[in-house]
Amino acid sequence: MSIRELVKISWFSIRANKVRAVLTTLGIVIGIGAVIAMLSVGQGAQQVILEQVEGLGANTVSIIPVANFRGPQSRSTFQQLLVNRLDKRLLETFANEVRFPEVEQIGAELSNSYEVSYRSEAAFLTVYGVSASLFDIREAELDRGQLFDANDEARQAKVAVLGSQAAQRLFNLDDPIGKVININGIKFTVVAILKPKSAGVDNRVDIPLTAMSSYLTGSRDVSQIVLRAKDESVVDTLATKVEDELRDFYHVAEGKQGDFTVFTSQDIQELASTVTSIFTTLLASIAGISLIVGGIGIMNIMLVSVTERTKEIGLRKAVGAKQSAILGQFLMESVLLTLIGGIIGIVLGVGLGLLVGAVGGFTIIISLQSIALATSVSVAIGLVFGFYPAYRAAQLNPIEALRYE
Amino acid sequence: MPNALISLQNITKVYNRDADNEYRALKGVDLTIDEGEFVAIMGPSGSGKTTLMNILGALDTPTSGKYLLRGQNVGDLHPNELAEFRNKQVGFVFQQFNLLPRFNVLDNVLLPTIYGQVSDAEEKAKLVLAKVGLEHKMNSRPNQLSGGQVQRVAIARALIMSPAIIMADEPTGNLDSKTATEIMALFEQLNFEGNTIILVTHDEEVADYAKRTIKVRDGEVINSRKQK
Repeated sequence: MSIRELVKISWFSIRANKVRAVLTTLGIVIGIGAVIAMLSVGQGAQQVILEQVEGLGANTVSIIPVANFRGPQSRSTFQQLLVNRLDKRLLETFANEVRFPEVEQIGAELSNSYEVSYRSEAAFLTVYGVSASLFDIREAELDRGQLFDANDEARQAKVAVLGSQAAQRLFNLDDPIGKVININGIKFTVVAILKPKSAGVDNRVDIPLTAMSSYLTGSRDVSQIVLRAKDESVVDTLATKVEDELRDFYHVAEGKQGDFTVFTSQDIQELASTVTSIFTTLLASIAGISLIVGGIGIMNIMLVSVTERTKEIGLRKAVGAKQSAILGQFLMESVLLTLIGGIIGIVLGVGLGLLVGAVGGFTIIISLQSIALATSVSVAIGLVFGFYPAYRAAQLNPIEALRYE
Repeated sequence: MPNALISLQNITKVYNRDADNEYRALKGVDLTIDEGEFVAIMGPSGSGKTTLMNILGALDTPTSGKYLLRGQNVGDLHPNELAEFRNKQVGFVFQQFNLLPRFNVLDNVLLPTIYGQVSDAEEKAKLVLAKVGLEHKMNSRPNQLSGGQVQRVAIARALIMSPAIIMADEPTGNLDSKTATEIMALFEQLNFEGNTIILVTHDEEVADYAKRTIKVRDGEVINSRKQK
């Protein structure tokens, strides 16, 4: 018995019960559709997050202060988090080319939230005092104007670079370049606007670190130091050396944890990748539950089909069909049902994904892998849930089956 | 016997063996059917004639005894071999016709060929359809045919594998007498062409077409006589 014959027989029998076939496969259609839509949204989110992480710069080693709980007499974790800063002298240490030959560029920033206003428009924005090198390290893309440089930094220039969202919020349609904004009562001139990148970057206001220290915070410390390594291969070495140096600098005892953490751009990428893939898997699993429900529907209808066609099975056995042939016939029928449902589901899921993307403004990724996965899952459901009914059909006694009314 | 096609030796069939409701359907049947015979098996219901037919058609296996077809012991076959035996050696014609309603006449006739290797299956199907006079109805559905035509299609289906025996179980039971006569004439013709036919019936008139009548009662063959 050839596969062609099997497909033909199965197709005939599915066509004979069109409405039933459509209703039965609906479960699979919805399940596969949901899986595809969820995967496309999930994978899209993953890509967006990875892009954002990449926006933090490649081959970088970052140092941020963290608060460690030291006992009941210490300040609350939240307070520590606000207060903790990194000593600015560290910048000179890492700039030492003899001790840290791996370092290509050093940047630092100090951030705080302030009311930023232009004429009557005001917003609470996070203002970052940054070294000019940080634009380079973060691969910031200039939209208009000119970024401030090391000279501006040296002379504590009161200039500001706005993220695209920040610019929009303060200026609406006006051209911000050359306009004066007010940060916590201090006047800064807008010199540049950055291209949209990610929510975090788009909402920030960058001013020279020196200006931040002098006019706004009064502190000489920084809230983050970013080192760019010369090469990808030395990133991990650099991270280890930086960690050792920090322990030394802050006199952290062996086995104790310092008030800082060191991480590389790769660490963040891996973390983001893990988090988003967990998210994607979770979404797909929820959708997968509907597939099980759909599979039970298939099993149910196949059992009905076997009962209805008992006489046909008896006849086929009488004219020489072996058990394997009957098993194959009904398995093929259920696989065909789930495969058709799967294909319709894929089309529907792609459509749904695109719709969600368009309405919600998400990035959508429809990967070949997810389509291949959905196709094999639908075939597998047909095999798994079709097996028991097909087995029952194959086991029928031909005499009793022929006599069945 | 040089040309014995079928030889049954002390065939018994016991249902629900060793249980309270044990039922002995066949109590030691000895029977020989030669190549080219036209045999009618007769008997009232409960006589065991259906059981006998099922065993002859390899739908069932005997509890004990030997069933030889051209020297091969059918009783020893495994289920898969029995399926193959039914496919190659037996052509069934049923009282209920048992055509597949969704398939056209040609596909119905071709049904046995999908379970066994047959070369030029379609050519053969057209040939047997011509033999039963329905080559022009090849693309019709069973529900577009008369009862007699439907049974002719079933006969064509029984012929397509060129089986050793044609088993007909009350083939005219659902037909009017005129059509029944036509169908029996077709069986006579097929027998004349050399086919071995075993007919199961309780109808004396139908049995009269056969050359030999085998009477079964209470699980035993009580009479086997040549008529013609």
